[in-house]
Amino acid sequence: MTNEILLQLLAAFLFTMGMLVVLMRRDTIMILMGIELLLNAANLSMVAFSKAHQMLDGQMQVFFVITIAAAESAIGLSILVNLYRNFGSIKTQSATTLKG
Amino acid sequence: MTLMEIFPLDNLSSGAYVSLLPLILLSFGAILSLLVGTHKTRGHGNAFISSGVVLGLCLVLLGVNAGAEATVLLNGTLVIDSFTRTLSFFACSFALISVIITRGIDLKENLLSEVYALILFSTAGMILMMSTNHLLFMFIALEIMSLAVYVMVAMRRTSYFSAEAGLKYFILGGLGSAFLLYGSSLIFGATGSFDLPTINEAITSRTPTAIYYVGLGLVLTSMLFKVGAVPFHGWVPDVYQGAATNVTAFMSAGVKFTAFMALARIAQYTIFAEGVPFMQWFESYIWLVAAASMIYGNFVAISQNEIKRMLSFSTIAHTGYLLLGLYAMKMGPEAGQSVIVYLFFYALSSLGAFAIIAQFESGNEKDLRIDQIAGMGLRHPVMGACLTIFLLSMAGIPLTSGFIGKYGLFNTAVNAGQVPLVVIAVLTSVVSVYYYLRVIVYIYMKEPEGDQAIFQNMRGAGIAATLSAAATVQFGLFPRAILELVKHLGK
Repeated sequence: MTNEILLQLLAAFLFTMGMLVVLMRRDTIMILMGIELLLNAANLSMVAFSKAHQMLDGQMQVFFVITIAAAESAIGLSILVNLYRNFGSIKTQSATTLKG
Repeated sequence: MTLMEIFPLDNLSSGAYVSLLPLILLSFGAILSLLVGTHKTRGHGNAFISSGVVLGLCLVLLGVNAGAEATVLLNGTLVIDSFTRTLSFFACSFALISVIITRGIDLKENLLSEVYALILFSTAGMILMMSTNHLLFMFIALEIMSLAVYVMVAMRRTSYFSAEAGLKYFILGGLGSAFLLYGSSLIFGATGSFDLPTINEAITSRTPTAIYYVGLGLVLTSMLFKVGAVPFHGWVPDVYQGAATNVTAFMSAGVKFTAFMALARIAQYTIFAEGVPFMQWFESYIWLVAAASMIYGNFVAISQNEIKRMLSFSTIAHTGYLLLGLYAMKMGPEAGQSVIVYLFFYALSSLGAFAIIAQFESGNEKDLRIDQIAGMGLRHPVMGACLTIFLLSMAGIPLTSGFIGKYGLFNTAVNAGQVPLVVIAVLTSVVSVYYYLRVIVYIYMKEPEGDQAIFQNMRGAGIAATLSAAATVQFGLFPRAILELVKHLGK
């Protein structure tokens, strides 16, 4: 198996792990880390593809994605602070007032 | 390959500057509005005025330049032509109405003054998202738009519901964005490009590999997340209910409009490309999602007693109708026109309806029960009549713009041969009449009893609602102006 395929498999594995973390963990900090993992898996896949295609497009885009991931986690953390102030906990099961 | 070959930095012509001016104005206006919003006593008013003026300027600029020559930047990544200018015009007008509604809620509830700046940032993201053909540029624009909206949803800091809605929207929105990113990475791997026209060429000239299909599935799923279609609708009711009503109004109009336009653009270049094998699978996917959204949204909305929650389920149903229009686009991009018209009319009535609900709400309540507004038609005749018009328009009753939108949408779908789906759409919209009329019955025919919502007149929201109602009736009776405009754009 070539390196390219291995890298893609790794990216797919990381993406699946990230998705499982987001969907199954109850701790919002872990969920935030899961979202970061998702974005980083996509980054890895893009870098590997641009190496395979001998193009710089994908590698360039990764910088933008890293910037956005930073902004996203900043907003995510501030939402968590807000959640903690209101509910006294950052577990997802504490925030279940909206139903119907 | 050097950096300059990928992103050639040409000197912009004056025409290009004029085309970009709305974006530049919005970004700087947002920063200005952040700065003037810090004033201790008059900050909120100043932020409101500066954002309103900036949006007004953008509307004038986009309106004046609508017919100007197309500007293509960054090798076709950003295309600003009369089509995208008109879409941007719509987005800016939704934002302006939302700013006016926000001012009313701000005076009552004392929101943070940053909300005005966030609306501008989000609008800039919308304009970028509707003007690009590049998948990753679309991701960046989507994040510019969504990050601002996440904050707006979680903005009422002392409200449980707002915090919870913000968390839910953030997690599911982040998941959706990551799907778009990974999907476009896989498409890049299969076709060697992020550019939609180039991808289209690549897949029509030779059969794409399996990763292309996986990537396309992920991209489509993420866009269906953003428009809130079944089975990716989980966040819609909670977020619509938990957010402040002005934010709900902005989301139901602007964010939905943008996400749908982006979805239509992606679908046009990928799913409806000619002669690509296995595309009927993706068509069936859209078909199923459309049918599920119509049926689920309408039937669940029947059992809702809270108005914002009911409208959020009805918005899922409307997503279903719009997906029907999208599905009809496989017969040719003309069907896209009816989607734009429908979205525009829907956004108007939805903005207006939320503007009226905003005037009834008291700060700490999460929603307004339907029986709380019993008899409002007699006590507040103008607002009662406006709300009635909006609900009738959403139900698609003739003489309102909703009827024109729905008629155009179903008509193109029938012409495209989608009869079974249109039958589902018509039957479910008959169901929808029940829950819209139920509210109207409460407005006019029930005596108020129990705890009633107190109507607090907000001049801004009242004006926004009246204007939207006037437009709804105007376009319902004389739709030609808007139909001609959109048809002209199609060429």
